[in-house]
Amino acid sequence: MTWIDGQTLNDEHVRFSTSVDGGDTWAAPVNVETSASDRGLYVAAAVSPDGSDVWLVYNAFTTPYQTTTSAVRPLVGVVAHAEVTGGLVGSFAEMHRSSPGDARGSSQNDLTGEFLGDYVYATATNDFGAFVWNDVRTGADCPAVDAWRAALRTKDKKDDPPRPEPNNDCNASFGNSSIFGARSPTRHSQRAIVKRNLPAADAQFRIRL
Amino acid sequence: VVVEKNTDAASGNWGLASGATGCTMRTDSGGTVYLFWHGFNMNTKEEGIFLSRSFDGGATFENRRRLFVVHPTGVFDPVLGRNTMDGIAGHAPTSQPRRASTSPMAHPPDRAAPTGS
Repeated sequence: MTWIDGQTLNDEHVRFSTSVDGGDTWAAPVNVETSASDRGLYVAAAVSPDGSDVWLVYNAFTTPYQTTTSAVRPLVGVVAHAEVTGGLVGSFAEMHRSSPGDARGSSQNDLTGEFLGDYVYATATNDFGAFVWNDVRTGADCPAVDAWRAALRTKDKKDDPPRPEPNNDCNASFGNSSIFGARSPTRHSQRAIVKRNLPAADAQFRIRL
Repeated sequence: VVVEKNTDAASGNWGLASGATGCTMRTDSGGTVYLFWHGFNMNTKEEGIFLSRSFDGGATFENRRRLFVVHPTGVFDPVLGRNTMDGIAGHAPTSQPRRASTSPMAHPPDRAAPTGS
């Protein structure tokens, strides 16, 4: 089982726990993000049917909480894998880290905030794992929206800019958030791939939202 | 969405003022059904990962148990009515309950859905 815990702002963790007795008892949770700068947002896990592999996929922000809208907000998708030996899950090794995207380039329909969805899922067979995550690498930041969003959060409304018109005021890629996915290589090479990353591009696919 | 009546508030049961989100279900090879969810109590402002299992194909479920305490992520955004994690006007997780800033719940739950087999 895995989840995100935010006890301390800017020190959020991807938590993971297992049970070896059918859910009667659970091991003390551990942090399993693969980079210290990862602030987990959404996470999913999958166990292979033969119980020998555990896969994780998570979205994470890699910069601290921003009090302005003027700085980039990198979002990544990460895939990690752990071997299971004697019912015990080993340490997670990073298998893939997506190219970062700027979350400011996503948007709710009313433009007042970003929107990423919660499309983070993993599945596994004995032969491979497959994963999807939110990805904004194909989106573009829109400074006009940034300024308007910031102004909505100030008390003084006299100098607020007008509500932007994305078709006229933004790059055409503003709001172009996506679901990206990847799969691991086949089982014949699975033990080998534990020590190397998933292919950067050819194992990925993209679903346009 | 399930509405429950709590007749034993003093015991700390998560009843009337509680909510749930991020529900997920898994089965094992022996036929046991595992139901996990992220529960929150607006009175105590506590959140947790809960589990209830069914050993009869879903006809009945055992009493729920809170497995782990969970802490919400992010900072409250008054325009969105939810916590955002990456910054002001940021992403507000879709499973968070939208609320007014005067809500007694100081920090609504982020999506901490337990997932996995």
